[in-house]
Amino acid sequence: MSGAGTGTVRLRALAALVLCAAAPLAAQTGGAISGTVRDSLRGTPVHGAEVIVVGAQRSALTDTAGGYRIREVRSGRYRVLARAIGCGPILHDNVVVPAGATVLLNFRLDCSAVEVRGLEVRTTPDIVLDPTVTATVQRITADDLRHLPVTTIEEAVALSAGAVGESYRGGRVGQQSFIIDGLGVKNQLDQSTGGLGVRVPPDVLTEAALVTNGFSARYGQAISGLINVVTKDGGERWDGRLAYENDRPFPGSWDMGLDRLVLEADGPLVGRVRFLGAVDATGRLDADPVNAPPPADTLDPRSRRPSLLPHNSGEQVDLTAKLTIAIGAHHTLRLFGLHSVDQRLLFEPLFKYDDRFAPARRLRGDLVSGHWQYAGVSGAGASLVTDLRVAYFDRDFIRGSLAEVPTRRFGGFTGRTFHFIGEDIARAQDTAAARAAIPGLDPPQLSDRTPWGVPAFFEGGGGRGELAWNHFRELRTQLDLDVGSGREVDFYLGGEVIRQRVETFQRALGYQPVGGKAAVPPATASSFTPVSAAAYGEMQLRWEDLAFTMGLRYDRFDSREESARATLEGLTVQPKQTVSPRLGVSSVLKGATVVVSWGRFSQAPDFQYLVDAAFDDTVRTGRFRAGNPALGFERSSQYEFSVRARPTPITSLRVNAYVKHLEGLVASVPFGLNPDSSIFGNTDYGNVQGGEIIFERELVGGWGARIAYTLQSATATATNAFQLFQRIRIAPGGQDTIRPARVEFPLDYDRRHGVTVILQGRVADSAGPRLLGLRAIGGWEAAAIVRWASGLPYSRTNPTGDTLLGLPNSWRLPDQSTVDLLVRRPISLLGLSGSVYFDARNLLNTRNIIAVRRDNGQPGIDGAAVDSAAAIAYRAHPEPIPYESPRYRSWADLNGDGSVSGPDELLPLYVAAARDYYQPLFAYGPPRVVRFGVEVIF
Amino acid sequence: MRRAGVATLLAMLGTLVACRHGEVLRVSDYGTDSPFFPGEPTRLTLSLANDRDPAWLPDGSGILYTRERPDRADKDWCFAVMPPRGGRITREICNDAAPAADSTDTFERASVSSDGRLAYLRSSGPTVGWPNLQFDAHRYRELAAAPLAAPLEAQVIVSLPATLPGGRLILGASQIRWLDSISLVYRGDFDGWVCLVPGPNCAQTHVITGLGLVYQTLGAAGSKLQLPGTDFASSVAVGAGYIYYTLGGDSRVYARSTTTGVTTTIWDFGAAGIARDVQVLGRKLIAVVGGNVSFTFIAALGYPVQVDNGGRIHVVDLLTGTDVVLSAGPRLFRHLALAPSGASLVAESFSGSATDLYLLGVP
Repeated sequence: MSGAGTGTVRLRALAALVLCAAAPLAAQTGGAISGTVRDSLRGTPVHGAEVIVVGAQRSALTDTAGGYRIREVRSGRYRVLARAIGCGPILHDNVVVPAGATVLLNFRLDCSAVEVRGLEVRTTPDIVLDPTVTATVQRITADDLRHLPVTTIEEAVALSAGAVGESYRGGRVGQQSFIIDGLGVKNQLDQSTGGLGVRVPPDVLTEAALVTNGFSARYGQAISGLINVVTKDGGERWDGRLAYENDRPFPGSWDMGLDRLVLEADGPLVGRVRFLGAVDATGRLDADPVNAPPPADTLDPRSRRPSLLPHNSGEQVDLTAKLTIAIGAHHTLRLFGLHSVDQRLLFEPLFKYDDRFAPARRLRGDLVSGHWQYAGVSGAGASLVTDLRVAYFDRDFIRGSLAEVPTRRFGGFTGRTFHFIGEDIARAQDTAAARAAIPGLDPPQLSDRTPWGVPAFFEGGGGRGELAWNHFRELRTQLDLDVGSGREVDFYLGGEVIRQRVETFQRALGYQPVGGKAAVPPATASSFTPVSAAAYGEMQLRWEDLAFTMGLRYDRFDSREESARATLEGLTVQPKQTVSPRLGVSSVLKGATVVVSWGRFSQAPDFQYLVDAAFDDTVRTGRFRAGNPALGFERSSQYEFSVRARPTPITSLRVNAYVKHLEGLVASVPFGLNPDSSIFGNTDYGNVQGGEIIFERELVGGWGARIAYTLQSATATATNAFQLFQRIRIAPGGQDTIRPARVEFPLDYDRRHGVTVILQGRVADSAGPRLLGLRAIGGWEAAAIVRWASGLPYSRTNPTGDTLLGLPNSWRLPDQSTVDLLVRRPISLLGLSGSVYFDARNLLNTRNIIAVRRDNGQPGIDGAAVDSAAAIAYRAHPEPIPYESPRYRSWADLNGDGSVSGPDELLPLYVAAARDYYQPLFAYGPPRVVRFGVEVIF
Repeated sequence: MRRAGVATLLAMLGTLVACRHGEVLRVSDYGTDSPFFPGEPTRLTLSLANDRDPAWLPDGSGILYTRERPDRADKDWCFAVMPPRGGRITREICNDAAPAADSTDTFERASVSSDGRLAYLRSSGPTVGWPNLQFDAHRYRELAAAPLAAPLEAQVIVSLPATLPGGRLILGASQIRWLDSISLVYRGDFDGWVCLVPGPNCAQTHVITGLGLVYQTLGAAGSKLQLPGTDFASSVAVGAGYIYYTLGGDSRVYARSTTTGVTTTIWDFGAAGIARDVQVLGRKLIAVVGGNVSFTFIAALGYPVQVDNGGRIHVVDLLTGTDVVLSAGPRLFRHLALAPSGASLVAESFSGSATDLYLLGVP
């Protein structure tokens, strides 16, 4: 497949679908090109031939065996030239180099001629069978993103086997690290609950990959996986893409108020400077739509429009720019900037009819990086590639009540920065000023704007009084050395130093002063400057079809957090250190590639757990908890056995079996005698075992397919007394009570079965009859993603919510399934190519239950519970509602006396209000979401 | 091919951009500017709780009054604004500050100046539940002024109780009238619980009675003085260089020149009874006269109190001397407020044990 002899096989890049492979150094920005140069007549090796990757500043000389290896070739498409004195050069076009993969590219030079010949060759590496790799990589390219019904990198990565949203192989959210162009980027403050904060526009991607096992010792800060993102450099000529998509033409509830504009352009600026820029802006009137059943009560406004929630709009804008500057023959400088803003109005049922008091949030992220790369000349197989990266990452999050709800100007776009009440106090971390009620925050009152009028359930006049702000910054310096010694040995050395700054502020019930009858807790704030450092060494040895990869990584972090309690108690927080070895062996046995790998991985805990605050734990219920500045690393050990084979030239089959042990996960444990007080500790352990089967047929003959099945069991082991108190007691009721030392229960993302089927089809351009000079069906493309997954676990509690029923996560949600579809028709405009497309998610409008109430295991409460809630509310407010009151509803005044009074008139209103309030909106996943798009490629 | 492609693409783009998104859920407007009982007099409020102290917005665009809110957990008394002909309340002003959540806060006796300043009496006391509010346990009570647009951002004019320059102690204030943008005149009151009929099982009765008219200037150097000759005043009105007032137990209406201080009697209702709640606009003089009203000396206080449960509304043409009784039938009114146009007035009237507001046309 990868040799010149197979060049006539034209496989479009989109045929790659989600490519799964192993890589010698997974999660790199570059791959390698390796092979031999031989005399085409005599078949003898050509020693000293030069192999040049055009446009990548990379080259190598062949050794005495005619072999060569070019390392750290940036992911992308290249022309590769081989030449030698006395031989005619050979040029290969369209050599696709994926990150972390090795392209086998053999040349046969005609040493009796001197004319340069260009070959139209499209080369893709056989990254399925490549025996020199040990990690498990599931890759998606920019073409895949464009030709599949996915929009973001996260959606694309979620197609991978073993992924449950942003959880990978049973781990919890936040156990992954993002690698953008070889640079680690992680929100170390609250990755497990807050996300990264920056989004790379998909149009600037070369590829994105999920690495779930055996990733290189170069990368840390993750114990479940890496998201490796490689952006492209500006091209040799100007080109780009402009796309606009929305759901405006669709009727009724199909219109979710979506608008998305994408513009990407890249090309040469001056000299050897190339530019890449992109903007990706998305606005949605209903940014988090739900597929809940429409209310049966015709007086409920949503019975007419069941899918579009108020105060639920959002806007995201991502801007990126990149300069690639080639300096001399061996140096390249890349300057990269990324700015992301995500503003959301957050719907809350409580404020459904006074939505201006519902909360909002703003998340801003900025990443600026510089990357200097030196690529030494390869001679006789030896090479040196040096990468020095310096990056500044700045993430700012705030949530609270808006000072003013901005007006939407176009779709979901406001074009204005959200400002929040008390924002200045939060940014100043002024806990003294925050002891008083925060000016501008009013306490909520029972709303009089509901359809039901009665004073019950819904609130207005003021919000929750929540104000949360955090700011995370880091300056990362990262040095990587890639030392090649012949074709058989590679050394990777390097390290990084990260200086961070963490600032947090939280205030609850801000409309009240601290203390008082309501026992309003004081504001919490923290500010500290952790320092992290790491060093690694890795070596790969290759002998024909056998490869060993050995690595060792050292990590250290010093939170330097000096909490008031630590100071008070005289605690000295020591820096934490860990060493993580990694090992992989791969070979080819009977035509199949077999890989065995083992590795230990570690990550520093989210810094949010080091400081006092109220946060939700992914396993526990949320409480006010004390931070623990002495928290140490969370760790995992992973074992994997995988087999990769090609049943036919265009199909592949991969089977992965893995075992992962999670150790020292952060959890909350009781703190003192106060039942509502706890402290974080490295107290949770988990075991994940699973298997993945991935079958793939490349897009040949007009269709391709990929089927991935995942079987998994992920359990947690807790020594947390909060859990243990709920467990079996020996000698119940006696004085000599004994409780078990530990319990085991499913992890939150323990999805037992998952199937993802991706189907793609394409009609040849010349196919079909001509109508009015146009091919009616020629060039049409379609892709469908069919997903089915068994339910995730959840915990049940008693009705008051303070006692777990059974073990944690011992109950299961129902199965889920979706069908997504993308249909695309190519079109041309003024000589430019483009397309129009229709993209539908959850095409069959399956109503998936994604959450249930913990007290009854159902999405909502039943009729009796509604009646009970209504009766309680009525008893609290039996007052008649006079005509002049804003609460008066004429249709409820049955006797027409100008007053809604008595149980006959009032109680039905309370029942309707209760039914309305307890609608389980967010228990259901998204409905059918469609969009129509037009794009132009220029 | 190219033309077709261009046309198709342009059509697509045009369709995409030109279409409007559907609207998100919007709250219905349940309001109306029509009264429930449109007859004469028009009953404006139907609440079983108290609605009282009506006042007009200066431009006549609405009626501002005090509305008791037994549906609130804190049982506050709030200001409400309703359309000039009645209907649904369009604005409500309550003390929603968190510290006030555990107390009953009352906003009363509203008066809006022509430049949009609101003077009112505000007080706070422990919440004891409707309808048994206790008014003599205030944490604070004060006369305050604020922009009508931001009524909670008030400047305190007088903290009560206060002692007048003559030495009389006042516990409350009512009949608040703006003289100009920097001065007020109001009735200083006894506002409390008292035993009207002494005896071993005497029931305490809530009594509000005037003790005198107070002239009050605002600002840092603000001062107050009792207008001479206004002991036990029962009502006051201002207009055209005069302060009009009535006295307890008296059927006459007096006019005091704001420039000369000379007081004259401009009308005497004579046998019709005790006059109060006087309003004067041009040649029209309107007052509540007679009815269920008493003026009795109370030994426990050492002075007389006027207990007013309503009377007849008289409209007098000061030029012709005609006196027309507006109300017919047994309904009695009090605390009236004449519209700026002079064409209508709003007054309190008892419905059971609580008061409601009525709108009456003025000839």
